[in-house]
Amino acid sequence: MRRIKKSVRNAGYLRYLYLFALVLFLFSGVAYSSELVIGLIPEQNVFKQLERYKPLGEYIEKKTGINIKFTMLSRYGNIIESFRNNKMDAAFWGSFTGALAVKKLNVEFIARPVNPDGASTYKGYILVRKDSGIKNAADMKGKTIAFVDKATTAGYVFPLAYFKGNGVKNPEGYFKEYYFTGSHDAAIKALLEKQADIGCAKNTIYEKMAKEDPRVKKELQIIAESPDVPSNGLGVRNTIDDSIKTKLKKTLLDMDKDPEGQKVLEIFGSKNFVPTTADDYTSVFKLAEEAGIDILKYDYLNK
Amino acid sequence: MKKKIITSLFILFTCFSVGAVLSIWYIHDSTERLSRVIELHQVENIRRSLVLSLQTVQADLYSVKTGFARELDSIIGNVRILDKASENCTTCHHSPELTKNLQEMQKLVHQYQDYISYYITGSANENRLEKLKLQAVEQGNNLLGITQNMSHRSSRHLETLSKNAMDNVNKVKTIMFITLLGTLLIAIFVAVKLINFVTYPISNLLEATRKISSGDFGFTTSYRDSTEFGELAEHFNIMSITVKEEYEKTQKEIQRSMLAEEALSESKKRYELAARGANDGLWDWNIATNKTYFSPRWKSMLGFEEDEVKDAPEEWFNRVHPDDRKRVESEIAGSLETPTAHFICEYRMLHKDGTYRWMLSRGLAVKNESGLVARMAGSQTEITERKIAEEQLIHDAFHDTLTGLPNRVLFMDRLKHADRRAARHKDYIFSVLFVDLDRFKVVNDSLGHAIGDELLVAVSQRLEECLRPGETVARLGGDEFAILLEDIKSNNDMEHIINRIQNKLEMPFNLSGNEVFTSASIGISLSVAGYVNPEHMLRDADIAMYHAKLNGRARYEIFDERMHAHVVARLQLETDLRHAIENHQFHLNYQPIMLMDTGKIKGFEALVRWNHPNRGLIMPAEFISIAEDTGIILALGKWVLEEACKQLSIWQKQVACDISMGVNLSIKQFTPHLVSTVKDAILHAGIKPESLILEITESMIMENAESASKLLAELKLLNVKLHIDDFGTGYSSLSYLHQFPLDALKIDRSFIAKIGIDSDEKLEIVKAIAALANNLNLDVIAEGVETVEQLAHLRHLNCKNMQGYLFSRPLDVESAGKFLRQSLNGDGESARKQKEG
Repeated sequence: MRRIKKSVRNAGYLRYLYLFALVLFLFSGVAYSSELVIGLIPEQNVFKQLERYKPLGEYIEKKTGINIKFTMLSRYGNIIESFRNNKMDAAFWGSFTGALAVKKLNVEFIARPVNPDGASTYKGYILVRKDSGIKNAADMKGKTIAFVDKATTAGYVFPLAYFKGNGVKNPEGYFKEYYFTGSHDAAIKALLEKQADIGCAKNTIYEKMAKEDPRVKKELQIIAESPDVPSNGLGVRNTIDDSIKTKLKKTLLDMDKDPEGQKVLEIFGSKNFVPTTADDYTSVFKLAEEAGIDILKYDYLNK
Repeated sequence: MKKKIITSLFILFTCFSVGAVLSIWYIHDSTERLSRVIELHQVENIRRSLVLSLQTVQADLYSVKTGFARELDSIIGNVRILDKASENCTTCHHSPELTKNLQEMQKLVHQYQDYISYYITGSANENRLEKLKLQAVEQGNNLLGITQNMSHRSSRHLETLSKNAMDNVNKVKTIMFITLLGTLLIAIFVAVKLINFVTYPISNLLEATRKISSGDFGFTTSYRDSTEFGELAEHFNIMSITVKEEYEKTQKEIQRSMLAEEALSESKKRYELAARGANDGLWDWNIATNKTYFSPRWKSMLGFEEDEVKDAPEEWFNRVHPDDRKRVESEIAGSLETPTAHFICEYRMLHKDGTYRWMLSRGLAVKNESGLVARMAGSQTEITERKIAEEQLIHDAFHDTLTGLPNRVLFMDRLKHADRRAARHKDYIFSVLFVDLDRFKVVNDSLGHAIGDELLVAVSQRLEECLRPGETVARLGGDEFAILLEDIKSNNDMEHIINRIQNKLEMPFNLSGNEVFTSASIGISLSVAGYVNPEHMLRDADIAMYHAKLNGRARYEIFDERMHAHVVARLQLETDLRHAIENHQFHLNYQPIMLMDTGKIKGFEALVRWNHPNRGLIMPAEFISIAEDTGIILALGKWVLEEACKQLSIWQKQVACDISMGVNLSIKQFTPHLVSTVKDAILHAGIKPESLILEITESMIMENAESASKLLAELKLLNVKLHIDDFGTGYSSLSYLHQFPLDALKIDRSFIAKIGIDSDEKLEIVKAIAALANNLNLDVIAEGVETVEQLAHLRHLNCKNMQGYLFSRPLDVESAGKFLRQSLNGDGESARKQKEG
């Protein structure tokens, strides 16, 4: 639902606008205020994910005067549905959900974060337990694999492309069991707790967990890694007022020049924000193609 | 004393301190315990909330994958509450062991979160999902168990702590009570002791202090002891005596200064009053700063307001009249040089209205400590009016008030000037004209003094018109004027001026409607005569004028030595006359008066003669006027009267007949005193009053008819006879004549002498007089009958009494006596013969 106040420019529309505003008010039961609902995907432990974004939201609120409300999603794919159902005005899109949004939703991309190592991209890893003895795709047959979500690049699309590239046409039946952990850290955790033999996760989460838990580097091995795809950037519904878009963009891009913004970036785990556009998702489209996925027809919901 | 107080207070303090320290120690302990209890209670609450949160999240966990699931955001909220609760627990104060447990617990909470998250986000077959769920539930139950256990343990601990704390509180109560009670008892004891120690001496000293404060200085207390109070009492006594002495001293001092102040204020007031009374302006010149204070009066004297005059000394000096300025400045300079000398100066100052005012300034310069003149101050008085009055006085002193001409003093001054100039320049000649109006007295008498004054003013104007500039005409007094003619080149010069004066004065004057004629007699003295004293020049001019008068008036005479000699002679005569009576130089001659009816003698007229030791016999005409001028006439007149009466008495006794005696009176004798003189003479001689004839002149009675009338009446009361002498020569008012108690008229000899010589005119006059006398019922006596012809005429006119050479000259006493006897015994004829013989 739109909660952005529109300024009245033409006296002729005044009557209709009033009527419209009244209707909106009666049906929504929500105060007519400037609030932006931003969706978050469960990239990692949902509680930690929210903790990570909270300071950023507060910072944007302070700089732009727009109330920011984050809403956490239990599934990557739900973001498309939620966006369609007008529950959200914007989201920090995963690379694949971003690609879906480019194709299916009118989303305008604003900016994406740059990792502490300087890259504004990430890649997907296929991981195995060292003690599993798995060296390649062939070794994986009959093993248990933990994907992240059907709507993730690193956690599904890339492994699918990898399997296709290595002669595994359909994972169904090839593995003893496959399941979706919903988050990258859960996938790695599943490996560490021997719930699964093969795991898929994005490199940023892998590195983060490696710092917290020494077992990650000690017990796990990277079998494959995907090409670079854009990091989780902010995309907004393109019907939102341009002034808000501009404000958001300016705030994010200038964050690293502001001492306060620098602190927030540190908590967020990034160096700075850079501009991003739909074109940046080319690599994702390519990867999807390799995986044999038709994005427009793709059923992105986990089964 | 001090020790006692200190010791008492110290004991008190110690008791209290011990109690306080104990109390504080226990209170501190109790506080710590209580705060711990409170803290634990809080922790208990937190733990309770942790248990609640855990239970909530567990419930969420069971419902998350069901249709009753909350929204993920809400679950996240609950988890966050749980997270916060566990965090709070770890931040509380706990024993290290407990802290470790709590940290462990928090770790478990995080793991629990992970498990929940995995379960929530996971998508797999039911077994796997159930596994994930169980993992999380197990973790949750585990946490719940730990938490409840901890809660149970801490509850017990809390109970113990609370009990201990309350015990401590009770102990504090007891200690406090004991301390307070002990302190109170000791304090009461100390207070009673101290009061006893202090009150007695204090009240003693207090009483003494009251005495002093009520004015009883010098009061001493008898209190003695060895403590500080004893010392205090001792010092108090000394102080009291000192106060008394000082007070008396101060009192005297105050009195003296009050007197001095009074005197000063009195002197100030007096000065102020004096300055105000004198209406003086004040000035005060500070030499160092060159600023001058001018008082408001000083400014107002010059017509200025207070703020119109600045404080520069130029405000003063620039207003001084240019002619006076140098003098003022030099006076001030002199005063500054010798500061003891007063500065006194009179000068003119420019008033605001543009006129100059006379000021008198007085001042005195004052030296400072270093001996330099520091200031000069003084007063300024306006003396314009005084100056004008002075000038007026000076003018008046030198001028005649009536005519405004210079007076005698100024004239003499000018004369002296001229004289000095003449001494320097040999050919410088000047002269003095003494001008006397002719007949001025007549004008005065006939037209009154006002017209007389007018005439004098008019004459003075005409005289001024006749003179050249620089020449002086002065009024000396009365109708006398003096003129100083200077630098005379020739006699013509002078004569020219004199003629002009005389011509001018002879022109008629119109005075208040009266046409008045006058002329002047002028006497002249010339500087060429070589005067030593200028006064003599005026004197000689006066003499010359006198001669001009003698020589017929309306003319001038130049003084010569003969005139001087004449005057000197006259003066000599005057001197001799003063001694003539006492030296018996006077004697009387008697001229018989004949009665025509009988041809016999009727009486005598007494005539005075002066037998001058050097000059021989002098006739009255020569000395009577001098006697009148000098006042000798009164003594002389009295002597004549007495002598005549005495002689008459002798003769009347000899011949036993009532012959009469005529005595001439001078105008000067004609005073009320005359009556007593005449009375005395009559009484003294023992004669009949009616045989005494007093001969008076017309002018004597006409000059003041009223008083004369009164005097004549009084004389008449004595029964004496009154005759008018020289009738016809003077001025007579016939209308008055009949009012006087007269007895006879004596026709003047000038009328008789002309009978038969000139014409009949005189005879007619005599005839008229005789007729007048006849009408007034008066006798007529003809004087100066010398010829038979005259006798015949007079007989014809019915004139009964005669006197003259025809009958007898004035005779000495013996001859007169012989003539008397012969006349009475024989006839008139024989008497005439004797005379001729």
